Amino acid sequence: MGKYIAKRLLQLIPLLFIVSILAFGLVRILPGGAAAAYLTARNIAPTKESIAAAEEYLGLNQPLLTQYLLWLKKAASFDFGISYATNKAITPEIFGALRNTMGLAAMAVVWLILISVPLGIFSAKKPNGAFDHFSRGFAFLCASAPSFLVGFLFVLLFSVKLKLLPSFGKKDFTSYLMPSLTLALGYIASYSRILRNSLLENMGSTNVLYARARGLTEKRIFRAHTLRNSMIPVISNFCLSIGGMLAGSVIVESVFSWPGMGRLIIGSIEARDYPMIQAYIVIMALLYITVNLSADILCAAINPKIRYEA
Amino acid sequence: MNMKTRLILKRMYRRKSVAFFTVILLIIVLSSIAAPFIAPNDVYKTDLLNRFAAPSAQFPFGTDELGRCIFSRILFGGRASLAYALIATSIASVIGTTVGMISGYKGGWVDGLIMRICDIMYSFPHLVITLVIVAVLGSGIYNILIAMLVTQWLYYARMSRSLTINIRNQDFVAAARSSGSSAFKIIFKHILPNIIPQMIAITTIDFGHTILTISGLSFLGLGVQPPSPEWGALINGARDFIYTDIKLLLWPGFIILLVVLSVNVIGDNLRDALDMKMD
Repeated sequence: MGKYIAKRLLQLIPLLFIVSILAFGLVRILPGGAAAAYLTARNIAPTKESIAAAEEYLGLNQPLLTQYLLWLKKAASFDFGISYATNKAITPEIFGALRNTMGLAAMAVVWLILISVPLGIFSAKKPNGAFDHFSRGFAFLCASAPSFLVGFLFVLLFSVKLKLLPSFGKKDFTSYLMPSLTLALGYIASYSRILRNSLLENMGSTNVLYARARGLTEKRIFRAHTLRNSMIPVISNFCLSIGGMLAGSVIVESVFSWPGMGRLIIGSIEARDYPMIQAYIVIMALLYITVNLSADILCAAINPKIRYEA
Repeated sequence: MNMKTRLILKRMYRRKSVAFFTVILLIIVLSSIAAPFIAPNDVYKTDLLNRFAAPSAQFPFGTDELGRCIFSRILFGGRASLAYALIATSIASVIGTTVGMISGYKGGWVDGLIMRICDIMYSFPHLVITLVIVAVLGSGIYNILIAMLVTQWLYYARMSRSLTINIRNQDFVAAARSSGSSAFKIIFKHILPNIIPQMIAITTIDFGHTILTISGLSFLGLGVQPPSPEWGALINGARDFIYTDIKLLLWPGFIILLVVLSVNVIGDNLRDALDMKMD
């Protein structure tokens, strides 16, 4: 296991290098250059003199390698400089947004478990029965519904009609409920089906037959054998989609005006706030790499096959 | 009822759902194509005296905040949404399938290089890559299409590579090789026909995802710009009026849902029929 983890950690080095080059290079390949983008963001007309002054101010007239190393040194300590749009330090702002997005994703995971596990189990109890058909239809519907439609429908129902939940922003715990459920729906669809199929596969396996021959009760067999083994594909798929969930919250955040990473990046793209975009790339990449790595290690821990094959 | 009848009934039921959604999809696609002939009104013509009008004979779905015909805008919006999604998926599918076949059949350094690129791209969420490309190139539908291509072709390349590896060593390929066929000929005459059904099933399902992604990005204001009609852009325009008049949002939202649902049901049944195991 230690060897496996060490190997995975070593593989990260080239990946991190590529991420840093991409994030840094982004500003170089801008149409018009970074100085022009800076001036536009600050509402200054880009003349020859103002561009020269901005280049001087942003350190763009130094050699590329020096610039890269300076940037890297700061980025390594999570110092991403000053936002072009707000003229404030980027780091506190982006970490605040990250916390909000992670909170949203965490709550979505709670929904995911609360809804997809029972759906999967009851569908597998009677395959092709009425409930299974219902849950199949539900899964198709969830997977096909655009989250902006679902989000606004929730707002209409729970905020406008029933006046139960706040329609936008982040105030207290109740503000988490609708955006996180909207975010979770697409995933609920696929996980309930993955769990169902995996349960059905395991119900026919020889270890269940053996457990039955040992005279264990059906309840015990289901809990200790079928359900446990069936969770493996669910967990491994699930770990892989956490990163997607963190990135995929962008539409949900826009619908509910949630102050997270998605809103931050959309605002930065509109304002052409490149240091903020650089910070977004670095943070998302680090986050995604960490999540994927932990997922792989977790999967290797529950499923020895992976350890030996890798 | 014995097992056999049940099985047949189930198949009938399935076919029926496929038939049902195929008809729905065809209606939407055909009316989008025929939009210039069947749209009752000009999509850009505003009428401030007739804002938020209820459905009527002249405006089947009513009018929006500027008095424009919602029905006509959805028809023309469908043209845009469906055409962009079709362009993105078909180009990505053709490029990806070709690269995947070459990679899977040739192996060696070509394969190694392509798989490394895949590994790197798969290290990031697709949406992040798309957003970053849009951030560099600027918003607009063509930049979105470029971003979609960059992220999607790898997905097809991976699938077609693994399908190719499965049949690479089968007898008919070996026979073609030993009778002196070139790699080019083997790939396109022997391997391609064998993996095409599976690739079509994958492309179908991806088409649904692409419609959702493109309309989602337009909803965020990064894709098709107003006042051009496109389903996601229509929803973006409607968001300020959800408390005033919900039909502005419901119509395009419902149509997107119907199209994606139809595509997903068809694609899923196709996959089942081909007995594919998916991740």
